[in-house]
Amino acid sequence: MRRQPVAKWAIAISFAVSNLTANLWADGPPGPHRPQSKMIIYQAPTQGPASVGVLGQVAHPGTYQFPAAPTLQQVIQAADGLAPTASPMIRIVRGDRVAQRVSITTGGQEKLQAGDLIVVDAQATRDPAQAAGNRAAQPEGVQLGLIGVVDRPLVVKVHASRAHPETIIEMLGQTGVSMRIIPPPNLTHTPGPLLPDGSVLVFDPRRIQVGELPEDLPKVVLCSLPEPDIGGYGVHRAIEEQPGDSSFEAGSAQGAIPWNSSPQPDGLSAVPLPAPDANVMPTPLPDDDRISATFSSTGRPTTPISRVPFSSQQPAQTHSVRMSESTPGDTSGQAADTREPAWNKVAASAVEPGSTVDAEFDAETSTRSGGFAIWQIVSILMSAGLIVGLALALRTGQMKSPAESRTNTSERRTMHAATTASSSGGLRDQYRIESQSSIPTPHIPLQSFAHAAPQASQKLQPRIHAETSEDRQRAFQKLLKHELPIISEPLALRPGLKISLHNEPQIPQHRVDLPSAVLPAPHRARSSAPQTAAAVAQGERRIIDQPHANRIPGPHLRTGVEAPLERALRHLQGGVS
Amino acid sequence: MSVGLDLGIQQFRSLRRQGERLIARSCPPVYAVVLDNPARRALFHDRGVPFAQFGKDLILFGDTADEWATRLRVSTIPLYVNGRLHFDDAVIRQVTSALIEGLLPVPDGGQTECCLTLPGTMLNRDDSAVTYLSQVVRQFGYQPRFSSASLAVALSELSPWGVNGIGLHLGELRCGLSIVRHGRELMQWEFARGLASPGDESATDQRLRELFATAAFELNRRPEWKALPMPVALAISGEGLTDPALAEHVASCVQHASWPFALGAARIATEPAWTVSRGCLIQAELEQLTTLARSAA
Repeated sequence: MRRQPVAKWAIAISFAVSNLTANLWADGPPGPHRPQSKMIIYQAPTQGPASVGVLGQVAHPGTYQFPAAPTLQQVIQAADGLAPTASPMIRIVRGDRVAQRVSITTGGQEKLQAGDLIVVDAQATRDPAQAAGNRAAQPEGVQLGLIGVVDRPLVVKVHASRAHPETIIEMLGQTGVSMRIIPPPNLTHTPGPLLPDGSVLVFDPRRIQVGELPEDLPKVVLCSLPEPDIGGYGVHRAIEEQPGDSSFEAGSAQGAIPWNSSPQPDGLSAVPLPAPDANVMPTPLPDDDRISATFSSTGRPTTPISRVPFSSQQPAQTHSVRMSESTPGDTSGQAADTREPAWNKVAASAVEPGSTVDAEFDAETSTRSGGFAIWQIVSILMSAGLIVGLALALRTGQMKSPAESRTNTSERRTMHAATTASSSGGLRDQYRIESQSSIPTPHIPLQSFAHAAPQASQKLQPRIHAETSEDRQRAFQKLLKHELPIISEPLALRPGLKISLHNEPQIPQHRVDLPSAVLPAPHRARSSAPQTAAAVAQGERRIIDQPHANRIPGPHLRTGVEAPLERALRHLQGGVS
Repeated sequence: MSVGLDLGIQQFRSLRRQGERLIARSCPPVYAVVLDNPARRALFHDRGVPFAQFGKDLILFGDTADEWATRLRVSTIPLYVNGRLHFDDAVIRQVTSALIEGLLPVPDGGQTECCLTLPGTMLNRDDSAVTYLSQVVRQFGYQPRFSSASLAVALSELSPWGVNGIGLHLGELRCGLSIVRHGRELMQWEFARGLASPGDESATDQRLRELFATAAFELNRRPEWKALPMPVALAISGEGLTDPALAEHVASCVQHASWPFALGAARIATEPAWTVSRGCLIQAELEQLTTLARSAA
């Protein structure tokens, strides 16, 4: 009897150990054959011009318009490449959320959609001193992406002291707009009330008052995609000067940012961008071909982009997009700071009650790149084994000695009557009451309650009915003041009633099914119910039909020995207790 | 558990407190006898209509009797005959018992008090009715306590005045008046005429004037009102006061009656349908609280 629990525990532990080993192995051996997760991404139609914004660690952030939907690499190239401090993970904000995270090592052939905002975050570091140095070295301006304000994403740069949700809304000339803030994922410090660099503000376009928008919003930079037979990956960019955008052109050669760079009375100041050619990082391309992208930019010389083959950057990897935020060797994918930033509270309270910060990014539909490998099947089987083992172990843990088992059985049996609760200890009483809640209440006729012992009925009720005297007093005061609402419920008529014409009332059912073990000795013959139908008819008829009857003869009171149950019955039936 | 039971002529009502809300049940005191056949039983089973077997017929109770009597083209039978519950009729007695059983919830096993009013006119207030109703209520697990409707009105409506004042119940077939001091009934008087079918407005006005004049005369003869704090608060309730015009008229008549004391606030019940059952519930709760306090002491 004692070997069985030990054996079950041994089985459970062995399952657990093997499953742990399998899970460790399930991470897969490092190397090029390790399967990667993939995302299924909805491909937007490619017809028509597409405006895509680039924000963050690129040479020239801004909004670029392409004649057709570009790829990620083309957009990065249009922004003159990545900065040296760029994180290898690039976020693609689509709609109101981060739709995709792309590693720059994958080649950047992801097809973008019109309205996408590419966010290139700064590379995160775990060294606090270096992080502080990076923050100190950052320019005073804060880059922000705005989605939903106009029909294209906007990339603006504001003074760091003005990077506040309310200020942004005020600068846009809006009131009562809905805003969603997507912060950069690699925050290494608790942000203050100001928006951190690289934040994306998603507005509800239905609440934007277009007429109130300032006229000097950043304009798009028109780019032309080369013909396929010409270059393949090059981007021809031609800035179309538009009237009225002088304030944006002042600080940026590409006309994208900074926003309101001219001195303004509200404190906005122009923050010049670093020189485009000084910090351009070579953008990796999927092949080793050296294709020079030719820019026909105004005022800037055509600069060939050097490309580095994949092999020199990283081991060859499959084309994939990781679902998880962290990847080996990637520090930008660390989980975002889960503490609620102060500016989130400000945005939620001052901007709109429903404003939220998109701190957790939903993963899209994912699929495995390959079929199930053998180690995956083994892992699944091990997990199932672990569950079965734990279930067996838990069941074994619940087993007790035969005496205890009998006690439990007895307790369960006595739940329907619960007459011997007073003889049990307090702990057992608690156990009994708690376990009653999981057992459906048996259907007992109303009249059985009337004639059952009061202590028995008391035990049948769960503890939620317990009401302290303070509660009762408080409720009584409310009752006096008419402060308790009245709720109607239907009449609870008993089914199966029979009404007779000649003084034949419905026979009360006095049956209280007590187990023989809990009855005192004279009642062991299960004499709870009336003996015969004739006796029942006579006895119960007397209850109803004889108005002057003093006492109702109870069917239980025939033994001559007065038990607690009998006293209770007499009390309920109006006798002297 | 405490329950207030109002066995009125128009409605049987029960009210009980469950936490911080009041649970109400009500039904009209009528029944209907319909022919028994398998199709009808199946219909009742499908619709969840409770019924009782009555020889070769079926009996429907309360609201379902009202509802199905029209459909099945039978008439409902009221339990009250000339304002009386004839307990010597076996069927009426059993139907009354079944309705009371349906109105009373299953007791929770603790001390259970049921305060109820005696139905019908004062002619019904005999020992047999009291004994019968006591047995029925006790059979369903409650300790019965009887109260007059006017005392229930006072308990329900005069709590802002410390339950001191006069409770006046305007019933269909009888009107009652109770002088209540600190929740205890000092005097109870009944007027054997009610507001049922007085006819037109002038008849109602005449009936009210007659009632209040008689009440004032009766109070003038009794010294119990002198124990009340002055001015005397008056609470009025009754089934007919659900009509706002009648309530306004009653308030006017009360003010113009020649009371032997200075009349203070005259409060018309805001929920006249539930005033009596609420007062019964208050009395039952008071009894229970007193018992608990005694046992604790």
